[in-house]
Amino acid sequence: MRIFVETVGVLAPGLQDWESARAVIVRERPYVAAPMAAVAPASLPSTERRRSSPAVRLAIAVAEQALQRTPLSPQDMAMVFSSFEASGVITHQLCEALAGNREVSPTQFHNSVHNAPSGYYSIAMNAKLAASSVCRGKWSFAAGLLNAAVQALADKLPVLYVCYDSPLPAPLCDVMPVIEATAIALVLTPAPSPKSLAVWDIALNPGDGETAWPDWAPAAWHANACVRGLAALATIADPACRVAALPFSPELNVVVSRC
Amino acid sequence: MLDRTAIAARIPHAGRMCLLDRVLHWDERGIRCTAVSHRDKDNPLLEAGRLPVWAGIEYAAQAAAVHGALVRPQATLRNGVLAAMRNVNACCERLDSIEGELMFEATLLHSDPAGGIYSFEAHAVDALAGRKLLLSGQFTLMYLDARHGKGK
Repeated sequence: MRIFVETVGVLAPGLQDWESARAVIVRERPYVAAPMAAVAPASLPSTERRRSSPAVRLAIAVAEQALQRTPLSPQDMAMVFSSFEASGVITHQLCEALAGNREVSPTQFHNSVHNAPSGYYSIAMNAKLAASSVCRGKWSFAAGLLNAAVQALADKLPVLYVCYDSPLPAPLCDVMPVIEATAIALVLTPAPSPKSLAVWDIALNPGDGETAWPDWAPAAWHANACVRGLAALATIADPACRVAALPFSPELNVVVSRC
Repeated sequence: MLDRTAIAARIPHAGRMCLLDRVLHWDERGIRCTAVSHRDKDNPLLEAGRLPVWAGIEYAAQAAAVHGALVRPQATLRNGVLAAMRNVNACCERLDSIEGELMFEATLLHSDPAGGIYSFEAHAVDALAGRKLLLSGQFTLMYLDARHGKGK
């Protein structure tokens, strides 16, 4: 299925936006690890910013980056959010509360749900169209991308797609080693626009569930679902790269081909 | 109108997994099929002797696969998968308790060489009580294409 990429946002340690990610992908400059600055989304009212989790702020900040690069309004977009584990910090705190005095804070409970980022985002942006939250473990990037593309084509709407991974504290990180925060945002449209960055053909092909990591990507990122999306971004950044296979299951890849 | 044999010739499913009975109507935009296999004691989708309403998604997906074959009669038989689903609503729990025929309608929302996005509805059809909605939603059928393999 053919889909148009309107804009991209990237946030990761050492990659503060799409320009810096693009330069690393095409090897104009080497990847340099650097701690990520505190993420403070401008669109989130200060009360909401205080109440929200790091995962929420990460997801909204990367969405803001993408939105800055398109005249399309967030109110006119449907939304798809995906993540391996939406908010590991909150999950950890809930587990601590349950193991201790069993007094779970209502704010934490409300921040723990997988669609908390989409909820905060839709309030911040006054975005009232359909929002989906996708979780498919380490295959979340491909699953969310497929859902976003399908929705754009079926409903003939631009769709904001955000895939984000927020670090998990110990001991959860032993089983799900998300160590660094990473996030990718895309706006997909069903038809070309003057701003379209790329045209993608999306297909489903047999695969083995393995990811071909770019050699510059830190090994610490390999548990992050969204980092698998870097291969798709390479088809936009790098004229020499046309096809990216994004693992979707142990048997299938979502294959993105730049037209 | 296509019968069970004609349906089986157009989808990769075989034997009892070929769930639909007849194609009542089809055109470029969609397809309407009936099924009686929901009453079968050897239905391959039974769970603990019951056919859960979600099995209706597979019925509807097979209707969409037949539709894909009918609108592209020259294409070779292709394997496809149900790649994405949205807005699935069930109005009952099980299908095997429904005595009459089931009717599955799939309507094409977006057509593509890689597959198609369909909305679907399943109804119970009863001569006296009329049609009763059982299940509705939207899914994406994608054909597998080995050309790219693992990609780059």
